[in-house]
Amino acid sequence: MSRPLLSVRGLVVEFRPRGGVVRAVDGVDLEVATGETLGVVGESGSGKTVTMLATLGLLPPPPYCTVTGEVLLSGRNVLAMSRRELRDIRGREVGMVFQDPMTSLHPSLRVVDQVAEAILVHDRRLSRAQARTRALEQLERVGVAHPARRLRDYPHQWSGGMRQRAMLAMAISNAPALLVADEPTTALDVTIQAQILDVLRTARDELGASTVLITHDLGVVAELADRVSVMQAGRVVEAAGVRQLFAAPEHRHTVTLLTALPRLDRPVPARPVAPLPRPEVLRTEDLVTHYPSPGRGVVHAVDGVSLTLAAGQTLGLVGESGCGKSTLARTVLRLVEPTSGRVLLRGEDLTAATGRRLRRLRRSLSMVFQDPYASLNPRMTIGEIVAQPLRIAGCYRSSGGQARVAELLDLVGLDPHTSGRLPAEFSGGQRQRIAIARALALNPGVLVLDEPVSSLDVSIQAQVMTLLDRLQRELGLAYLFIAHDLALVRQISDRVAVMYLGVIVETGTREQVYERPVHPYTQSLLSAVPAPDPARRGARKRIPLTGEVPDPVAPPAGCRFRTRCWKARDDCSQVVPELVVRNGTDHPSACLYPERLDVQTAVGKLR
Amino acid sequence: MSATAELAAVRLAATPPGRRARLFARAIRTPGGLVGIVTVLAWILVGVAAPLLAPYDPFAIEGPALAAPSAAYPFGTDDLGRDLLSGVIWGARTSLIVAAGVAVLVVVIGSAVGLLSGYRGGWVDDALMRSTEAFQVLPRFFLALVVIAFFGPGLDKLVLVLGVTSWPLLARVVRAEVLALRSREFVEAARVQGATWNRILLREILPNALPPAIALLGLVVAQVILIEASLGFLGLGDPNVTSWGALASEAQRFLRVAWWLSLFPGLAILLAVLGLNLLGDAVTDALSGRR
Repeated sequence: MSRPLLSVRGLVVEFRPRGGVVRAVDGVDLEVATGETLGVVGESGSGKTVTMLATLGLLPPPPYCTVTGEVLLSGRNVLAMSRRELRDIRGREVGMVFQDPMTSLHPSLRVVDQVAEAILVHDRRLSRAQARTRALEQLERVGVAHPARRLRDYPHQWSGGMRQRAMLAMAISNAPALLVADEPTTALDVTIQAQILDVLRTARDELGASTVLITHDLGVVAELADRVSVMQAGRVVEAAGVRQLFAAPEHRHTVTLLTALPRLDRPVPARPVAPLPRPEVLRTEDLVTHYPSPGRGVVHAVDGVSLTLAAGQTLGLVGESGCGKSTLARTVLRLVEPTSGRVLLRGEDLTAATGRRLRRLRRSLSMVFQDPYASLNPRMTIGEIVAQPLRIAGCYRSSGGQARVAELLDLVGLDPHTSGRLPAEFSGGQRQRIAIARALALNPGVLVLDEPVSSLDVSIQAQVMTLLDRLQRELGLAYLFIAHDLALVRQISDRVAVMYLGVIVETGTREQVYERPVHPYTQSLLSAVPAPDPARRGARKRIPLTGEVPDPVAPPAGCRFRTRCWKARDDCSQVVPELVVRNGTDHPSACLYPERLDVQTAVGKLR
Repeated sequence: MSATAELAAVRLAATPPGRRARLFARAIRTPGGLVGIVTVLAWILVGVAAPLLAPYDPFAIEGPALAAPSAAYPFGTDDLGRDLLSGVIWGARTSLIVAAGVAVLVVVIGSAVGLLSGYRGGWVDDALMRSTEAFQVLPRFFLALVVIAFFGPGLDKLVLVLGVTSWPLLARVVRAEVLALRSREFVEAARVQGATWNRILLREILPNALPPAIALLGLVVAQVILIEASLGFLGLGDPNVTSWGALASEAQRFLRVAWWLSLFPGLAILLAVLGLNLLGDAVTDALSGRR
């Protein structure tokens, strides 16, 4: 192997907040050869981002932060460089793409000008007009359609996927030798992620650039990386070629990451068979939620959704962000009032209930929110938080008071002695356990879980999923499980509903939806999920979706998916397809031309 | 019984210092915060313990007229031979009474208006915010002048006038906090549990909305002290109590012969206002570092 382009030796980064030292990176060695892609994988706090920041000299100066070790970029020591030298290599020799495309663009400068500036900074001989022309070329290269028509656009007018393309255009505009992408697709939906990964791959191959890909997503690594370094607690615990790492992981942490990962290409354990009869506990009837969006019109967030949920079962609701799944959950709980339609809880109309009756009904319906950092009152002890529903219902004493709180904490695997502590002292996973304990306080029959684990690390995610599974078996709970992660939903669901732009496009049992999807949207979703299996890289067919989800203020007439559908015909824009079982299919879908398609996802392959 | 006590003791031991205590600790760790807290505590202590601390009756003629500071009269005496130290100490009490009274009124009115306005929204919000603006444009100092001119001087009237006119800023801060907190998930969680709206306001929102408002309160109170002193300076204070403003006012005539008469009351005003400002700033800084 030739001399590595980037070589990191014994890198140690220490932060010194008031009264303490935190060693964020603890002796890291990395090496990236020319033209090679290195995946740096780890959970949050493992030091992967700090490592890259240190490599690029982007950390704050001492005394707040000290960096020791050696970082060689094309043979020159980055750590010894002056500010001027650093400025010179950033953007020219090293291109960077950051995680959050919403915040990494300047909000009050035009996008095209920002890309042009990135070019101009490193080539002062260019005129503004020339730089702009180059910027347009770069934007076209990363798949922005007609950038010349978007000269005057500001970042807020672009979607997340488009902004990430703009970031990528900036990163590659000076043909850097090294491309650093820090969680480039984490904030994006799976279909957009597939687009961006494609662009990243093409750009890399065209430039012949070395790439460092920082991510927590093993699927992304399996798709793109040549070699992988696994980080844990500031150290590289395992480094290997991508195939070897996935086939025969050596370090315990790698094994944990791989086994904790929900994946579509492995069989899932069978669902417990709930005892018969399984009465219906929750039903929505043609539920519609529209809300006004000032200056734009009416947002059709939920547009006629009918679902049923049986006791002891899980209904998984999947869809990309903005499809209305969270609004649906909030409408079911009447945090938002429905525009029309009904929600029936064990046959009783929840939408018509008011006052005392509503409060009584709500006791048998509970919710776990997405963000465990926002869903617990920071000024209440966890004992108070868990006791809150009991106090509100007026049965704190009769249900056992302190003893009941201890019992609930024990049920979710927390030490009851910690009930006097504040939420700030708990980790994300523990907080989500507290939120679950709170949701269970009144013995509800139905739990609405809105992305309950999506803000957690994979290993913690697996623990919380195991807990949810156990609670369901022990307490006979019914779950309405909402998530964007298809593999995760597959793990826990009996039935699955796929939502797109306010409507359900396909629904059926887990096996029906995952193994015999008939709606083109479901098929493309399933094919877009990166498979954590480098051996089959390129073997899978993708159904790439073009474009983005249309504006829910003005959903397309007829079939809502037709604007992105490869099968769309003329009548798709005239007829609104009903959610029914059609010829040749065994479960309801909202497509005029449903067909079983060998998605060539891992799922299809399995059978 | 002892088992319960033991359990309580265990839980107490397991309970780390509360959030409030940590916030406080963070606030006083900065030099400004430390100076602020020490000054404000000293002011409160002197005000509360004035009868014990003052060596003489501030109105009694005790010694020679216009005596310079000495061991017997550390701050000197005025033209009638009254002890200035006692005057300054009793003045602290006056300013403390006014400040505390106004603070209570401001917190009660301000947070009630802010909470209702932010949580209910709609026409309630409109009505309350318009009336807040009406109060905000009232010139406080002149209103106080007018009230004293009409009804005669008195601490009770002063507290009432300043209290009723000082709350708008606080109401605005509380409202802004409530607007941000209203849609937070823990508030929604309480709604899902069927909590009544007053429970949500008092248990979920208020404890989270109050700290920034309290930080602001320090600044509001500092202004109140200045107004009280200004009124005293203009001779519009209560003649039955000593005030720093009144002391400074009397000192004018002897500016050339008795420097101590203006120095010490002026210093007292300066320290109290400075201390409150420093404390308010430190608490604000500590709060903004919160997650």
